[in-house]
Amino acid sequence: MAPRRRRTTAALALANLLLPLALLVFATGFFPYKPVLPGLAGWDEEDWADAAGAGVGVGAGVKMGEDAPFDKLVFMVVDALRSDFVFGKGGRMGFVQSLIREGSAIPFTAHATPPTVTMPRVKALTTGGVPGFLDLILNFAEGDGEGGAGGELGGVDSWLAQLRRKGLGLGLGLGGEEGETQGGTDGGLVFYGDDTWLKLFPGEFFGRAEGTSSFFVSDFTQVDTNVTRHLPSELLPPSSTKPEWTALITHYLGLDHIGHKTGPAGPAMLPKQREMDAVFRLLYEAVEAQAHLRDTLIVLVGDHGMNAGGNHGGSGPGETEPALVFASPKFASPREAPAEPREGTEFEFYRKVQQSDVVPTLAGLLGFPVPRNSLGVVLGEVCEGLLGAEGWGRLLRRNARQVRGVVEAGLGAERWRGLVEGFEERVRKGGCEGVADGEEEEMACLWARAVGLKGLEGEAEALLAFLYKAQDALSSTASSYDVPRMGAGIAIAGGSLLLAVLAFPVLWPPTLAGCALTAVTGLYGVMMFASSYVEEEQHFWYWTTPAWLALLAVRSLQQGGSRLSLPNGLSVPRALLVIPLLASHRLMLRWNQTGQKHAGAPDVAHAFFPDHHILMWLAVLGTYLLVGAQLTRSSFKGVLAAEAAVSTAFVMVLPAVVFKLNFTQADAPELVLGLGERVRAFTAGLDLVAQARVVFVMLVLATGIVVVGSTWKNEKTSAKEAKITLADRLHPLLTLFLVTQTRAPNVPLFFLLELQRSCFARLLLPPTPNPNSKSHSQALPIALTSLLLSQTTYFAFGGSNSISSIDLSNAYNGVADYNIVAVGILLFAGNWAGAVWWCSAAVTLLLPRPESPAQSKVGSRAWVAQERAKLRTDAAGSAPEAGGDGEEGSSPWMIHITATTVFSAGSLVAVMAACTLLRTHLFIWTVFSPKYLYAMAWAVGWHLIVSVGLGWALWGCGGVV
Amino acid sequence: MSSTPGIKPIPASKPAPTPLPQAKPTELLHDQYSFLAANLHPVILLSGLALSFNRLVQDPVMTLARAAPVVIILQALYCFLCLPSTGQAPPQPKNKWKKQAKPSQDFGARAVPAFLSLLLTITLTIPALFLVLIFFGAPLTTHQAHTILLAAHLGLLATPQLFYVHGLDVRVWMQAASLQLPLDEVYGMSLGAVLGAWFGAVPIPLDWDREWQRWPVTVLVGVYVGACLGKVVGGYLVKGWRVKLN
Ligand SMILES: [Zn+2]
Repeated sequence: MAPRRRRTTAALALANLLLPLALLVFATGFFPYKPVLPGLAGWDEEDWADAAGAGVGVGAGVKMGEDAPFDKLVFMVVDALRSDFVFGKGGRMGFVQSLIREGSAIPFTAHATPPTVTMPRVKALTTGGVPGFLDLILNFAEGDGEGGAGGELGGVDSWLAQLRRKGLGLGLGLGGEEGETQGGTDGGLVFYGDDTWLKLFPGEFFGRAEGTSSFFVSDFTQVDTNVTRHLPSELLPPSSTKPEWTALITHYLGLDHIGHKTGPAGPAMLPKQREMDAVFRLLYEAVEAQAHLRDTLIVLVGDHGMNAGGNHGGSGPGETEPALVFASPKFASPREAPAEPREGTEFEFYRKVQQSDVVPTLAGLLGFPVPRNSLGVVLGEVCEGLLGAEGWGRLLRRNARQVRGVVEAGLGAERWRGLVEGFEERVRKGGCEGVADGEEEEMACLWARAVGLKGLEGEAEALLAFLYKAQDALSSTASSYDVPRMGAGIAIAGGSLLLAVLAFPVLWPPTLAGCALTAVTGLYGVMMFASSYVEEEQHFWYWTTPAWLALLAVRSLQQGGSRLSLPNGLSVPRALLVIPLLASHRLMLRWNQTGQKHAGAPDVAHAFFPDHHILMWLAVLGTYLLVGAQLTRSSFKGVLAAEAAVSTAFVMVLPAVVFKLNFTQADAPELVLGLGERVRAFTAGLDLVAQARVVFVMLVLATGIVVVGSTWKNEKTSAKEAKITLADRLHPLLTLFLVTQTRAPNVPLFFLLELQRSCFARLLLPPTPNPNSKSHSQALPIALTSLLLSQTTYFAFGGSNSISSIDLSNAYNGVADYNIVAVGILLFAGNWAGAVWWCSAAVTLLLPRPESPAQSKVGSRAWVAQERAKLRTDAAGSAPEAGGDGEEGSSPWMIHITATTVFSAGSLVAVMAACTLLRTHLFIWTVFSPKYLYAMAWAVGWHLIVSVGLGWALWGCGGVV
Repeated sequence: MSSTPGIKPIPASKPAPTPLPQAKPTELLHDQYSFLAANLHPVILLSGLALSFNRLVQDPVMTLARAAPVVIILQALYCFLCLPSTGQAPPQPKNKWKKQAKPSQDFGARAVPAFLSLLLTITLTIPALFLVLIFFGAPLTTHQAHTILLAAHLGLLATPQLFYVHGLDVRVWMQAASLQLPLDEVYGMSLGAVLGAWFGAVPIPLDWDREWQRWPVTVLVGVYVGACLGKVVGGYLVKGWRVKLN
């Protein structure tokens, strides 16, 4: 028996070690690391040579860059400013529209590449690079003091760094490596708005700055007035207290908050657009009127758009189409302002450009070297008129040389030179049409052609052709997949799956649960290849779960066994427990509408509760009451005296309720509406961080008391008293923690979960009161049940496979200064609350406990103990080969973990294979890569950390056998 | 039954006392009409579905409501013509080509149970199946008429023949609910209809944006195809088998 057990344990351990390895290997192939060119770009020899002809440069009277039309920049970011808010007939930004008609403002629709969340978009708008999906993780996990390769852009070339250097008069020599800034406190750059920028450009980067937080999306006004109130003084002529700035950057969050809260058609949306229009007018009129702002360029830009539901993150309609406007009295190209978008588009009113194009355009207009990692292409509409033909040509050449630098860095200078030389002959004879060898060859040919045309007619067109080709090729990551690595990742995950399957002590003949687990894993795997099923994954779990429940009921009927006695003396088959299970399941799946297809359809949390908020709070209080009762009846039972247990539970639950009330008032005031005003007034002195900390500290203290107390007590208890396992004692504490991490409308779901758990405890009871078979024969059904319900509850709580459904609202509970570990844990607990809950519930189901009245009798328990001892001696006495691996072969928990490992590894194989095979699919960045990120979170967070880690701890603590 | 991982097989020491004699698979009546009618039955059902499919997609409520009486008659005829009714002695093998002695004699003995079976289906199983459909995710706040009619068709295809053959014995129905009846074409048809309904939900979330993906078309097609498939498979391929869960 021992060797067999050792073998299965080793296989299982190895399978679980391979999982993170597979994830890592695959991720490095799927999300290739893009080298970031270090340092700030400077003027190089070619720039000098080029400029010399125009009378700029050393020796000439004008310094490099001084001939630029502007020397100051106002960069106004409005979060989620979709094109139609500015340009459409439904928009309310009339002043901007009038400037467009006059010709003083030049409009674009700027394509925001997914992920359309703020941090990667700000990176694109400032560095001109194309942030990948790894930046998305950093968006949620960017930390202070992390290295430059992480979230920060302090050391990365950007127009901010360039303007700062220029504005502060720091070294501007050849090469660009020199001229390190020495942390000046001068007013080089000024920033007000979303503190994402302060995380990206930390320390002394800005001369003056004040951040606003997008923590509570219910804040529509304060976040914006906190920005606008600084503007009048910033627009005054410079003084000793407020030195001159080179760039004034603002980032308004209110419009995004309104979108998240009420959607793009919400009642506060149009007033907010008018407010933003008024801010823009304030800026523009100051530039017009004030002499010191004469050479100031104003840029109005949305970092991303929003979809019909007001959310963003993916590439749905509207999410990728923010507005972009360049404005200055110097522009004079009147144009028509169409009220309707172009034919066949929803949000394209003007030419569609890339967000990164802002970067070289600013470099041309403000006279600084194009930032090193930019993939942007200068915008002719903006630059050509002001720079003149010669200046425009020079700018194009600068832009092209800089992009060539990026291409060279990727390919290697040798290879690039070779490619270009290969095409020099060809372009002399003709163009580059028909170069079908590959994107690198095409770029090389276009470059060779542009070089060949230097100074001739058609050069500008040739340079633009090269620039757009390079932008296209370098932005799409398709060419840079490392397919062998992806294959290796799949193979490792496949190995993990095989090992996990082999770790089952018995494979044949299959059991009902075994077949069901195979079917669920197999179907899930197939489903991962269909984008609509990935988007609508909840349907799979909503569809399989009731079928499994019905099968459990049928099995219970077939087995017969003990019946369920009702209070009135009647007894019914235990299979009837399937009715409350199915009913609660049905109710849960209407709680939060999720998925893409019917996003925004009415549901309990978003349609019913806002109209019936008192009912919601009653359900919430009922849930807290249940948790309190469980704390009294299981957690503290026997550890504390009965009165002490009740009062401790009360003292724990009360601050949790108060925190939930205050948090909801801040996060979703429409669900509070004057309820508990006295309580809120009474606790107003304590901020939310402190309130959450009170709850968490209480939980930690209670956990300590329960662990110490129950261990001490169990030593003293006689076998006659029914023991409560430690897992049972800790479960209510975990529930209270998860409830704290859950939005108020979802709190009553825990009531339903508890109902389901108690039904399962009875439904999964074995037919015969055989102590040996109890947990073992039920381990696999329990594993499958907890898997199905973990997934179901994840979606029922509002989760989905879309980035926009990540709920950040509870991730900062009790966290004052940014702490990546704490926020990560809270974020996961908040979004996977139901799934984490079921991990713990599964352990309590697995552990034998006195459940039915017959079994809890003392005599029966004595019999159980005797029987168990006898079986153990029997097993020890029999030969190992004779199948004596029953009791000792694998514990129920091992079987449980084997099952969840099989599913985790199997689903990973499928997701990875889908991402590899469909890597050229249209939806790869919008559906499949977010799914991969979610699969990572499920495999690492849910399976490895919670199911294996926490489950192991709970099982070990509860170790009764 | 003891194939659970990690557990030594424990011999089933005390078989539960069987109050009910082990049910045997249902045999069809032995005359050429029964045989013909039993085999025509699925063909008629499926071709009816195929013929009215377009109308079903356009106007599910109207089409299903109009089709229901037809299905009622079809099912009644099937029971009447092909199946032995409750308590009827199992049909004795007879020479198929010999004309039955007095067909009119047992007309009443077969027509009344057939009528009762349909009545029980409409009053008992259809409301119950409506609840089951809701439990399994059918829309509750909208499309009630659709779901009720779906439950009606599911009930009509799945239950009259069970009532006709097994009567109202609760123990038999418990066996039917717990998959313990031996498979035959009657039980196969019932199980097939239920399974077909479950599988019929699969195409709904796909982003094909077809008209027929609307509730309840796919589920209804699943019911019909499942019932016919179940009838054929249960009646011929796996006749007499029993489903064992562990
Ligand atoms: Zn947002």
